[in-house]
Amino acid sequence: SSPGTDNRWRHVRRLLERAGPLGGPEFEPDPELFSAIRSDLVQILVVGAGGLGCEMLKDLALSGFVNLHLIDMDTIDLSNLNRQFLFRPKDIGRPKAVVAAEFVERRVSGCRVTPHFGKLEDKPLEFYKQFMCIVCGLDSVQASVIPLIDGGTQGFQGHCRVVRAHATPCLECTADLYSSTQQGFPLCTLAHTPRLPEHCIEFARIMQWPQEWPFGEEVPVDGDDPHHVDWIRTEACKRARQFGIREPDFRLTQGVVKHIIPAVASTNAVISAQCVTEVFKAITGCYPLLNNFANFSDIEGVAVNVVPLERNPQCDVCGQPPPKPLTFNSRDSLQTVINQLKSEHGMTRPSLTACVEGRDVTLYMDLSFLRDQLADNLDKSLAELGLLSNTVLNVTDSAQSGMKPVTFVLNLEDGMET
Amino acid sequence: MTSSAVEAPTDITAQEAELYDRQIRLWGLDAQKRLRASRILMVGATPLTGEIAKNLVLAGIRSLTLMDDSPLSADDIDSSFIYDPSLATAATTRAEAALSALHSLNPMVEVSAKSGQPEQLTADVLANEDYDAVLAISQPVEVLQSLGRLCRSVTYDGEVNSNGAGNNSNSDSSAKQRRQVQFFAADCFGCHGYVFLDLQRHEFATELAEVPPKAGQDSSVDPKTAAVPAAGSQPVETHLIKRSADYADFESVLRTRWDPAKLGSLRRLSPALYLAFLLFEFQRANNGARAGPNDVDALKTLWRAFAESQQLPANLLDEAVLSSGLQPPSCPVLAIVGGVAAQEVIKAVSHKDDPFNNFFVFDGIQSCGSVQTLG
Repeated sequence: SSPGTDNRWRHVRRLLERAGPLGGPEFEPDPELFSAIRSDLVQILVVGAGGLGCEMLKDLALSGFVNLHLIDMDTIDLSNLNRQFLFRPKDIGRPKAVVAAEFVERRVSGCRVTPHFGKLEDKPLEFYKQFMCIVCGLDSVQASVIPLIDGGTQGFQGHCRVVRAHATPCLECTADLYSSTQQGFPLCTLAHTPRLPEHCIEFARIMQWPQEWPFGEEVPVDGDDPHHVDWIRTEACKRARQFGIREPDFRLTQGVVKHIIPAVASTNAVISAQCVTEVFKAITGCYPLLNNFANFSDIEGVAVNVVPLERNPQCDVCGQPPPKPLTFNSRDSLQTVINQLKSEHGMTRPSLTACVEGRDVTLYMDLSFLRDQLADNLDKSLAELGLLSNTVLNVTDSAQSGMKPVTFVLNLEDGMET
Repeated sequence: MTSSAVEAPTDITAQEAELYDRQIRLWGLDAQKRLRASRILMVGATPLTGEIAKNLVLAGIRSLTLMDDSPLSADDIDSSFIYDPSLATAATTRAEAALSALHSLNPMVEVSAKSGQPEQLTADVLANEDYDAVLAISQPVEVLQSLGRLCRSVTYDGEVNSNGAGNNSNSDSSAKQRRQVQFFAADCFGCHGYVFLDLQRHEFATELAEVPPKAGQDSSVDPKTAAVPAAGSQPVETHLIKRSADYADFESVLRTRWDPAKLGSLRRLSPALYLAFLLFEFQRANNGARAGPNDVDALKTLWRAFAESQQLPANLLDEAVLSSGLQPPSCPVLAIVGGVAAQEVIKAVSHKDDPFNNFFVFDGIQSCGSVQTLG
């Protein structure tokens, strides 16, 4: 139990219990709000337990949240310790999520942190549905209906953005904002007209290594093996001398081979804190969210600015209006659904797929060679087909070529929900 | 306190090279060496101090000395990671309670507590204890004034060698320079915060991108204004150039007159900036006491008088913004201001890259920061 009193949360309570200048137009202060954000209903997922993740976990715990999950697939390395401050030298080799969770639970009484040591992609969709908000330092999570707060840093620069399906651009809409961390040099530059030490390094890694196999046939480059890096550096230096380019040192060589991104604690502190502020606002509703992309840089002086990015109407991922509801009874047949699509939604020969238990299932295809195979489905009830309320249906019309799929969401009146 | 008689070694160890690898790639080895020779004094051991100190200790300075004799309370422990929870019932000071957490973040950094009040610091103390920078955190305005003056009164006559350590010897090398004590002030008020720098005459190195041999082949680079491109974009050859900048002292900044003829631009400034100055006024009128939620009326009266004396419209700062600056700061605000402050200290003591000049304000309502050159 805490050595302090309830006084420790007074700064948080003030934001939630009183009307004031920070409240948005729809915010209703309520003394119950503080205990509500600490109830089981409010679960928050932090993606990544590295430079941003450690800072975010600290900020969330000290902002009063108690049900935190943390997912990360990495173990701790010495070079992490210049900024990932929940880790100590004795933790090297242990999973980041596990160590971070232990630290915060020990230090902030009442806060529960559940670690997940593994990859995002290995978790089923259901895993993500338990969370009221997701905050991450990676850009590999697709937009979902729940608010997603995304932060990223490289060296002295960083961003914090709010993503909400149908309201803001999804991560795919603005993918070109993120400069590639893979230094994709054109091969002709590497082969014929190198100008930079990096070109010489990549030439040695990509072209010379697989020709000479210096450490054995088919033995790949291991950026963590200093002998490998040294070999690449030696070859890169020879090439650099040939072309009158500055010869790379070991650090630069290893950085290029391993695609190392420079990183420092202060930038992570700023970006994480901005993200957690948005999480707090998203959960409590106490103030409108950031609209919607904040940039930070302290290369020269300090610059912070916020831009309202617009959705890309051509976006493959989100360039669609919100799904329209279709209301049926679970005993209705698939044919009933198709009839309604024809009569009320202007479709002639609709084909339907749905996401059932995490897998895409084709329900019916109105194409000559598939009609018969799936004809049995037409008489089955929606319940028999495993369709529940909130199932999303993707519908195309074979009679309109080039048409993008239209999404509908099922609303079953007697219904069990997904 | 140890004197500078023991020089920092000029080369970093292999372990340090690995630990600091990610940041050396950002600011270079020379800057890291200067950082690791820097001695810093922080007056005030508040949660904001904790955020700044965390970033400085992780970055690998030589030593950090905390000065704060106020007794540790149970609330302090719950509000920040920096205080040792096992000292909850011990009769100890905030400075003492922060030492073990800071030490464990980076055992290579010397952390210590220094007893006493800021008024007791003298030029001799600063010089003998060899501080490169003094940070005044959450201090009343009068303390800021006296510390700011104090830092300017200290100059080290001696050679500054390549790792930044002064050694007070009168070597006749042509590299003899006067070393100054850099002064920083920072505080958070409600959902806002400020960071102020006085680096006197500051010399630093910055990287300029080289013009590529064939114009148009790379992304356009203006040789006059080019900064290093964002990490992750195509790399460009750079070379170091030396620059210098002059900073105003805190007194001049405090006496800033807002020019009513420039009302258009004054309106675009964050109201949090005016609030920061209003809170200085309040401290002056109330013996250094911090304004709290119960002081709204007194502050409104003070603001009206302040605005009138400077011929400014009273609506530059409304009651809503005013009250947003009066409660204890939340964790994220401390982290943001602490991150910005720490990075400017790092730039300043390592003499690498451009520190801002001179007053940064974070506006927690707009979630935005801005820098003004005042004084």
